[in-house]
Amino acid sequence: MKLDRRTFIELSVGFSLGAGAGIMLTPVNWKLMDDMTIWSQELWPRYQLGGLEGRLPQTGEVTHADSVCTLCPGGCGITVRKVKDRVTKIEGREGYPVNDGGICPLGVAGLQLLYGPWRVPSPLRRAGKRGSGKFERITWDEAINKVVQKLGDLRQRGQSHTVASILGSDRGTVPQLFGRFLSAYGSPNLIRTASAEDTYELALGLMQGATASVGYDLERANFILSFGSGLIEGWGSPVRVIKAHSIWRSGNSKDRATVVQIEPRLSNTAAKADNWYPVNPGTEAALALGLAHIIVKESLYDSAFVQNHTFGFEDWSDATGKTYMGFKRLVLTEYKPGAVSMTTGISVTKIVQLARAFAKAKRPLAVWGRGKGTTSGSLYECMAVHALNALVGNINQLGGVSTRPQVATRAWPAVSRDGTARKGSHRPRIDGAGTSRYPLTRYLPDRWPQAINGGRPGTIQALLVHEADPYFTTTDSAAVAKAFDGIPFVVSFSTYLDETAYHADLILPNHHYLERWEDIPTPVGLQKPILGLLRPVVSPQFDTRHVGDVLMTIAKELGGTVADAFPWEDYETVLKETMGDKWGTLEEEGYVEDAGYKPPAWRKAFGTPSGKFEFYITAFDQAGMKVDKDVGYLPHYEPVEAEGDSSTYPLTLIPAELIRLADGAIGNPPFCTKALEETELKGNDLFVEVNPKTAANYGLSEGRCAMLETPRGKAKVLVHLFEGIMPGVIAIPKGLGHAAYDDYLAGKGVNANSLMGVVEDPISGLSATWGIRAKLTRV
Amino acid sequence: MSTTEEKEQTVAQGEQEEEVPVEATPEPEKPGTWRFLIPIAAFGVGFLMHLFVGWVIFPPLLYSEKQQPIDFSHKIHEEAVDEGCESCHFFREDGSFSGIPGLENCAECHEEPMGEHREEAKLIKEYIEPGKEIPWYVYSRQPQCVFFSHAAHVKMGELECATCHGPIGDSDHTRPYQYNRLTKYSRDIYGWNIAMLSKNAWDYTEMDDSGGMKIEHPARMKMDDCAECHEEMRGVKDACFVCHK
Amino acid sequence: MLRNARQAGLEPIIPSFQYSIIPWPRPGFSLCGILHLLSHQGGPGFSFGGIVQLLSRQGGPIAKRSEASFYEGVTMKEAHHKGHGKTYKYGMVVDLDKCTGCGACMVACMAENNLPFRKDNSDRLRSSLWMRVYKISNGLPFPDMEISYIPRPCQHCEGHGHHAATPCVSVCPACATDYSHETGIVSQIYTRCFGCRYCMAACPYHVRIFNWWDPTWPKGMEKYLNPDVSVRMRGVVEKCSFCYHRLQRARNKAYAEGRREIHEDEYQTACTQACPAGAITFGDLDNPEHKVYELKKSRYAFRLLEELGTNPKVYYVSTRDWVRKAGDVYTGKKGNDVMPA
Repeated sequence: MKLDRRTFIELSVGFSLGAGAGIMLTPVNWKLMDDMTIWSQELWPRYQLGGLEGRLPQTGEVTHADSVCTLCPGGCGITVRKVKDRVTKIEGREGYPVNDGGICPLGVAGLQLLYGPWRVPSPLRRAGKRGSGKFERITWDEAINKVVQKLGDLRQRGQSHTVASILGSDRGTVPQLFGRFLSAYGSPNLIRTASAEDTYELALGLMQGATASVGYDLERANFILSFGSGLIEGWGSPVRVIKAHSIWRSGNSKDRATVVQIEPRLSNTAAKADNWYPVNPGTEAALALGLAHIIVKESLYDSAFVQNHTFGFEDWSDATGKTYMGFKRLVLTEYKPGAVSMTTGISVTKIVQLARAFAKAKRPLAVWGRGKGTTSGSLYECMAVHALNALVGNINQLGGVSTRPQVATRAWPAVSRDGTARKGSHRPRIDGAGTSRYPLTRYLPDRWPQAINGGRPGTIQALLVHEADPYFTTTDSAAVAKAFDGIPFVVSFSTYLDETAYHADLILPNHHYLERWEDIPTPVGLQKPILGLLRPVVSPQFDTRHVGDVLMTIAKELGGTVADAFPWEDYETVLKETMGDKWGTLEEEGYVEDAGYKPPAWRKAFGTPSGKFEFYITAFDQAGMKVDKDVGYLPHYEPVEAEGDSSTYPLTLIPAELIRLADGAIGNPPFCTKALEETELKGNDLFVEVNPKTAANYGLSEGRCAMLETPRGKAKVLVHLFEGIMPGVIAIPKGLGHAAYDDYLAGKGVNANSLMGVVEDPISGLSATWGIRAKLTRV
Repeated sequence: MSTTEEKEQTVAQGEQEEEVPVEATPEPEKPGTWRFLIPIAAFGVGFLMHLFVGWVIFPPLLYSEKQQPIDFSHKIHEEAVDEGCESCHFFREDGSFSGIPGLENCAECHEEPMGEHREEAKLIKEYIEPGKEIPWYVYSRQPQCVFFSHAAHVKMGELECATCHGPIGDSDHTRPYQYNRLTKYSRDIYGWNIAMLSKNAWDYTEMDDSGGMKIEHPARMKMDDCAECHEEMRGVKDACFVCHK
Repeated sequence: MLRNARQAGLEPIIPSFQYSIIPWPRPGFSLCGILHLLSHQGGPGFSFGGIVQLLSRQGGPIAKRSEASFYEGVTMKEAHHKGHGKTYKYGMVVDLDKCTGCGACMVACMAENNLPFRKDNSDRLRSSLWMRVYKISNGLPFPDMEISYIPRPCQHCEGHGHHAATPCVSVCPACATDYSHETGIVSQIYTRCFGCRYCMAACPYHVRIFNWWDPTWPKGMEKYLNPDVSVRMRGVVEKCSFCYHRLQRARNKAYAEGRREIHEDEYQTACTQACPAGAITFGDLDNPEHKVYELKKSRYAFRLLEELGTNPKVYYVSTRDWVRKAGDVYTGKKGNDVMPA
């Protein structure tokens, strides 16, 4: 039989049908179908989880480790949940005195920062122009040698005073190491980034003669009068204050407190307050003094305190017989309700009601510190609010404001300085703090760009930055950028590739906070001293080193007295020795609390020249300060004008500080950016909040594109109509507008700091900027 | 077609000619009677061949075999440790099951060689010294969507380990690990029978001579198998998230 | 009502193909869904499962395998409770007076449940959030405007009537979501879901979100993923689960210790744990020893969209009238302006 076409067809068809039937009776078809569905579902889709075995999170032993969060000065205790050696969740630590199990959104998102692409993987050296983002990896030896070489060189040429260091804090062993380094090296320029602490410390020093931080007994107050503080938006120690807020809102009438918020915008705090007083921006001090007027006039003040423990309430005369105006006469004559109402925009009735309610409350407390408390602010304004506290007699009392020291630790041996060091340290600081103009201010963190831009070249020749991002957080970004150009050598110790690191010449990355040991000083605003312990929860994920160790290595290699100033072997030794006998408890519990701390009684509390709480500041004269007028010695309303003339810039721009948006040294992690509202960020565009009446004047509707211009900069924004802001005032969220980090954050929105400048407080030199004049034009 | 007429014609014509031999007219060309067998035969051949392919050739192609990194003997170790199975396979404080022990468990005893076995030398040289975790192949690894609680089954359900995992505790060598090339899952999950007709482990009641269960490979570990037992034991099927995550 | 097909004894007939063959998300369609449109909530329904259920009732043509042995002489309901033993009703009470709108619950949920994140998450319709904090206002002009925040997890609706009438469960053609009578939790099984999104249409609270894309994590960040929760691929719907993986773990621990009862503290959701204000309370709504039992009885307590009859398990407490009124608004009534968050 030959294979003709017919046979071929018969054979092939028969065979195929047989094959088909055969296969159908085998598992092949069904098995392959089943397997292919699994293949297409699990293997083919690109999970991008790295390899086949590592494609899904592996189970393993679950352990918990306690530590402290350092993403803000709040110092919350955290419990980290680990699976094997991976961190999978950060939770609040139950029972920790500061936060008792609660945590804020940034704290939870901290685990994205540990593993994320923002981490600096090893020491880096700039390989292109500044700000190009081109870095090359170098070894630790190379990096340290470079720093030693540069610093040694400067020292030899007698230029040690041109080295500056910008730190996020000046408390704790690591900042102390920096301070010690600069002291032994020969530079006075340790600069601490801005916060409300700057002003409050100064106010406490002047009015009470205390060198301490401010503590608020929020939990036991029953009338909170907040002058623009973002109580539930990150002010103070955020979780602690939110918990206090819950106590204020509790059903139990014994614990309930009345909360009054004074600010131009309906922030979350204002929204949850019992009363919101929308005051004209920048006039808070006037309102405080207007309230003082009523309290004094109607004799609602605590006479026991005011008469026996204060100075300068009544008019007084000095030895020569010259009389000086007292606080009482000042508020009674200058701050009548009518005038205050005109200035602040609050009706007379409301001012009177508020003053009476505040003074008659059992435990009233006035708090200050705009927004999250990350800007310095006006000294007189702070003093005016503190004066209110004094009037109601809550200084160092239950439910009041008090002074609070740090937990005592072992002092270090004095630094023995050589000639260079002594000469250098006695030079005036580049930021002007402590000079004859500002003798009482310790740090002027917003003035260093001016000092460089307005000064001779070489004012700062080397800058060391740790736990701060001054390139981003300092107002007047244009001036900051220019100043940076004028610094030939910038070293960042940052764990992340933030703006400052991006513009640095060398990055010597510190361990992440979950990878290192460190002591955590008492968080802002707490009324009892507490010392927390940061401990390593995971081994370092990248080639990083503890900044304490790196700094000491640099010092030792510089040799001479600089090296001698650091007799310790490594940072852990420093930590253990400094903690002294507290180390045992610290290591075991994770914190040491001075639970029994009580602020000193009135008769012992005031270290002022008069020995009393001073409404009239005698320390000004003692320090040789030039105070213009009589009223300058008293808390008064010193208008801090917003930059810009009102004809060109008819609106007023203020920043809106949100708890879901980190605006300090840490960039907002992706989780938090995801939590932002659709009326705050859309795509890459930021929203500006505008009152509908104002918007109508400019032809702006919801979602419309507009150009926001201030005397300092301009940016394209989208309009959001918001009834919660005063007509004529507009607000943008603060914390976006990054150029560093990566696509998850960079390029979104606009940096509020780039739109605002620095308005100096005339008496302290600190930045009292609360906003700026602006205009909005349709685009 | 020879008609009488033609014959007569031929005869008439043929008186002068020779007689033309009369041929038997060939039968009309009918289709071959057995021709239909060709496609049938082809069908049969194809059928049988593919049955063979499907049942015999396919399984080894689909499954790839690997040996465990170390040929571990449970028998030797069971005698050597103090707490029996629990020495290495234990419940942690939070109730989770430790599963296959990590390297540090082995390193507790095998830091230094305890004998002269080749496998032990391999363990020390390749894993303990460099501190590398042993990449065991897990026969019973379930998909990501499965949540299995050993505590519920062993402590509350009082199931024996061998019921689901087979008599591995008495084994002297590790058995080869076969996995599906497409899905990467162990063959133990779908069952060793390619038709997925493996019995459930608890269906085996015969014992072998040594007193262990007569079962070469443990049975399937698919969802149906779990669900079947759950339903029998509890009367209703549980909520999905009891076993899924 | 669409019941679990397996309970109808269909499992041996339908091969257990747990995955869809076509991996791409398809526009939603399903015969069952259309059929179900013809039915009403709480009724037997003309859904596929409903038909099966009708046919498979005791003595029906498709008898359940175990029916003969176990269900003899008892109704399904009794068998349910017999088989399950104790039932719980896990729910939440959220105090809107304490809620500060900080969003810690949102972020804690994201971290606990392996939620993906993208470079641009500002479009709420496309970004995935299980717990979502809404922002509403009273609609009055300056300076009388007030705002409130409403954290909204999945409400784990129970519906009314003998069988659960959870909106999403009753429409799912793949039985990917199911209501558990034992715990009151509505589960979502990603491997069964094939992404028709019918449940998203059915849910009146918009708690369900669809994975339009595969999740991607920058290199190294996959390390923080929680192994207790599945990582979802694109094409499936997901939603808040009341962290039932934590219930699994709590039960695990209890069984290992030889007990069946778990204490209130042992099973708490991630959002409850994270809330710094203590605004969220979670527990068994039926258990007098749990905090939520008393809290839900507050005269200021309300539930969202109560009039729809979904019988949700999340109660909200607010002393502000306009907030309580806003909770039941289905269309924007004047004076109750609901601002989308």
